[in-house]
Amino acid sequence: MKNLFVSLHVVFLLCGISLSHCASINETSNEEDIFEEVLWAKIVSMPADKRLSVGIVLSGGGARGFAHTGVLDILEKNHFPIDMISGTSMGAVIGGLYASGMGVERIWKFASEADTKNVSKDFKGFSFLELLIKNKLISPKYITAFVNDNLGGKKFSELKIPFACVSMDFCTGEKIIFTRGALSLAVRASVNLPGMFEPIKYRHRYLVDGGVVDFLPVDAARHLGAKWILSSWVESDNNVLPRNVFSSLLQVIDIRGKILAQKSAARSDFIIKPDVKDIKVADFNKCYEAGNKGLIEAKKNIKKAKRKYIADSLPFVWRFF
Amino acid sequence: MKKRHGIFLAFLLLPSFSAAFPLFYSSRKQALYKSKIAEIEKNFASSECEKVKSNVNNYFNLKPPSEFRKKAYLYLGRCYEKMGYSDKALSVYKIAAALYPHEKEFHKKLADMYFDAGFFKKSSEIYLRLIQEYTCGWEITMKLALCYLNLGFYKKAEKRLSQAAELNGYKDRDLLKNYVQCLINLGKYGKALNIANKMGPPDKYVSLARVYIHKGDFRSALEEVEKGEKQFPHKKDLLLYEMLLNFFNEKYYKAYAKAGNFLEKYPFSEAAMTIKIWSGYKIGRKREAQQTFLLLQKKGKGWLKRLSERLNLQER
Repeated sequence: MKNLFVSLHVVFLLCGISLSHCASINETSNEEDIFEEVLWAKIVSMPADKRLSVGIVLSGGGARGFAHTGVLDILEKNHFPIDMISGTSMGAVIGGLYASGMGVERIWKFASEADTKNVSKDFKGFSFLELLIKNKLISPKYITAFVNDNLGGKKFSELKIPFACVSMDFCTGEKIIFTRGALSLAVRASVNLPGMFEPIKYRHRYLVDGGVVDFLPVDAARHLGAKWILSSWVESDNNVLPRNVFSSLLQVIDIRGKILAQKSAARSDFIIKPDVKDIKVADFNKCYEAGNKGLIEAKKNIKKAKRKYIADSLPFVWRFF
Repeated sequence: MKKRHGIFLAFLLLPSFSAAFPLFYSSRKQALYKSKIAEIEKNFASSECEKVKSNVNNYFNLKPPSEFRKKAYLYLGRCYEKMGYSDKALSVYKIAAALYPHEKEFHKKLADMYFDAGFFKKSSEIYLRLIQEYTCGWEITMKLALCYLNLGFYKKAEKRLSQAAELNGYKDRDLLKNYVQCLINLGKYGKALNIANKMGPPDKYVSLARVYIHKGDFRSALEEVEKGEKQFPHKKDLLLYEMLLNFFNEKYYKAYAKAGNFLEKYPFSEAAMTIKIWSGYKIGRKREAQQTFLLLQKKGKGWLKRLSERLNLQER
């Protein structure tokens, strides 16, 4: 076993060495790179209506969803156009914060403080005990307070970047795409775990987490008018047998989300999949780690994403050159 | 009487001999180790890596004490590197770094190996520890910055690049190029222009142009490139940027001519072929553009070939 590990390590290292040229430092080292640099700058400097508008789609995934912070960070630093955002569950929280104009730095701060902030209390302690003993769904006061503190009072129409988030009608199973009205209510409904948190009453409907019906809301971004979709999908790993009610419930939601996301991913133009499979939905002590993993994965893929966007955009932008 | 005295004296001196013997013996051994190391050093200097390998093995069989093994590890590791056995070199440096936790050289070598293999997270951790524990020059600070740059930690990279540039006195061109790139990523265009201005020509013109390009100011970018091209008419980078910037400043005739000139020097340049095709279409020289397109299809291999394929379909 040890030998196998050593040989794998060696193979990995040798592969790394052979790829080391790909990780070159100077970003304008050859003709293609120079061409890409100038063409990219030209295309993204155009107004959104003259090029393919870009929709960023952020999946659900609880604590894993903080990987979106890293993805958004890299997109921003590489001047990737972010014309609209859609999100489900944690993707709705991160997307909502970003669309409201909150800087990535501040979202990173939430990631590093997630465990010490009270948000994680909704997933453990007395509230959870209440769920098991009284057989009564929890009203997650800390999550609600977090959403209200940071997004309360804002409306979709006031956002800096057009935004949509998804939840599900618990009675009909319909997918509800929010693009108007109060932002905090929509985000709160999108991050409302079924089977654990009380459904949210809204216009004669009872809303729960959108992850059950649309884990990777590509359609919501298209609904906003996005012509080119980049999805950030935080996939789960369900190889571990759950040992209690809570983890069983989360695993069912994860599996369902994975199946749904596979279909949505096919309708995306580019997908970034941060390697956060080892982080569980309620691992709020690992949010910052998830963010870093998102950042590293996005950095690895950013060049490919840029080239794909340029290639897809070219027939449309040609007449404006 | 004399004989008795001699025996008595020998008896008296015996303890001193027995104490001196190990010293004598150990100094003999030390001399042996030194000669062996000198031999290994000589093998290494004359690039006889196979000899280094066997001599190091034989040397280790003598079981020299720890302080006499250091150099042997270093030469062995460097030889494996020279021979292209990166995995073996890495193993040697790993062992050496564990045996000599305070030897900077082994940790630096280990970090460099990880860096070259693209394991930037691992190498950044070692470089950071080295910087924190020792007085390091600008090179290690720059390497740490490059790790951060490759990982996407632009703010951390900026801090280290700034330190490295200070330590280096703003002289190293690669360092300054990367610093400018980092500042572009962070959208700090003013600062990026300042750093670019500290560079010597012709890099200065390319870097200034790049900052303007990312700012969306294609006219200023072209001005910088043209200034550079006057002084360095054969610099490939400058010629490429000039050709592209002429096209994107809608100077299609000039772009067409520049692409033609470039192709005379570099007949298989896919970038120049692409610009010739694109500007040819814009100025109505579709037949020539088609010919260049066919040439690109035949000779091209990369992304630019596919890019023109997409466009050409629409233009037919």
